[in-house]
Amino acid sequence: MRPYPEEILRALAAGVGAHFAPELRSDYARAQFAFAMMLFTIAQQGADTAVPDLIEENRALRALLAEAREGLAQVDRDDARAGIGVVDALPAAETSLKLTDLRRENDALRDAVGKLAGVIEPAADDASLAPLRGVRERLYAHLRADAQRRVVPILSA
Amino acid sequence: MLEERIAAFLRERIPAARDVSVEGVARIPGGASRETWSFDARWREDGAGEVARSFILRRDPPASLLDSNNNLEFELYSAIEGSGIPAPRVLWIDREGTALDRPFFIMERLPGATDGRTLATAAAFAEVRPKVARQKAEALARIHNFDIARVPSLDRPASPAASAAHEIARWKSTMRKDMLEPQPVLELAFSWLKRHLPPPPARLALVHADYRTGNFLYDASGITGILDWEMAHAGDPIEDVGWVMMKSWRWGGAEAGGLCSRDEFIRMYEEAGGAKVDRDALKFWEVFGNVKFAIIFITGTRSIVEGKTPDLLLALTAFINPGLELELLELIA
Repeated sequence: MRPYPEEILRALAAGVGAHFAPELRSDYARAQFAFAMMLFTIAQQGADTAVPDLIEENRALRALLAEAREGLAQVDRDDARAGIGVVDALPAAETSLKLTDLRRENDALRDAVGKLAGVIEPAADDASLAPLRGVRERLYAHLRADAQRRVVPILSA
Repeated sequence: MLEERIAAFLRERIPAARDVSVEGVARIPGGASRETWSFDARWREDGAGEVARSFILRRDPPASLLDSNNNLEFELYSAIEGSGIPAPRVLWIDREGTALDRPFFIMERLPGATDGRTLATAAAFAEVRPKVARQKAEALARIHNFDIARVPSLDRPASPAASAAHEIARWKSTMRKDMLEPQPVLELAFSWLKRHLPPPPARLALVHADYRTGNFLYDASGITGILDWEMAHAGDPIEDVGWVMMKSWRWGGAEAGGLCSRDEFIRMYEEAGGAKVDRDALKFWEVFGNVKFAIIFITGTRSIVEGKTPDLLLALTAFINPGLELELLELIA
């Protein structure tokens, strides 16, 4: 049904701008108003593609974690064995298309990456972790692309 | 009315004052860790006639980006008075928060502006920029040579050698407490920090801990006051130098806070009596600074999501973190 949520957000931003902005008296209120306008813009970004974006993100993270598991299996260290346990404990891939379910899966995958930080991060210069060097490079590239996708241009100008 | 409540507080704190009036009370935008209000006051005093003065009031917010300490900031401002570190003079504190609902303190209002981007990039400030850069380096050296024994409540590590580990533990614990979602980039950065601990400083120094362009007042004459001491603690002085160099504080200008090159700032700081800057230690503290900054916004995000504050700045700052993650991945790659 129209208006769609993104159209409501746009109408809200325009309405708030038209009716409230002229009434603002202090610099502080004007600053808060500007923040609100920026947040209206941010809230609309990526809403349309949130589900396919998360499905793709989760697929990519799961593949990287599987690759990390292969590397960990070649490392004779306790922390590597613990890392295998982290990957093996991951929940099965989500079949629901609900945002809340996909976000929960994403949190589980990102949490697993965080738990492997202690073995993946040093791999570049620790010979005992050499089997993890390739996945480290690909994981960093993935995290860079993910952060780049979340950058809000108005805040990095 | 806030005017009347502030006037009542001043009447109580300045017994000799008669006919106290307060006007122009205005909240200053920004300052997400503590509310900052500006106001003017007038009163009559025997012998002095009519007195007119301008003040800044710093009040604890309902929730903030930082779990900071009003008492400490007041104590610090009091201790550094007369030390040569430019800073406003603090006058009164209400520790219990009885006069204005929450704890606050009042200090004198100094001339000048804080806007970092204007200072770093506006043509109007091109001539004063080198002078501000030098004053900023010299003031930092003075801060680092200040006797920390004069501020007993300053948080401090067990020894100089424990400085970096102490800060890592502090911010890791804050992240664990406040994060609403996993933080893989910060976990990777913490792993890097643990493996690249800097050599211990010669002694514990007063660390401002938010020494950035934007946290001091300046005008055409240069720096008029160093502000925002709420994160100050004892530790490794290079922590402040690392914070100065962070990309977030360049405002589109040069590497050292938008004011001058990295090498130039370090030279001026060392010549002014600052600590010797080890480049590996500097990188450690620059990585640490980005981690800390991201965690500050994680705390803000929790405050806004849990409805502890209506300050929309805290909702907005959450979206600065992807840029910090990019910077971190570049630094620790």
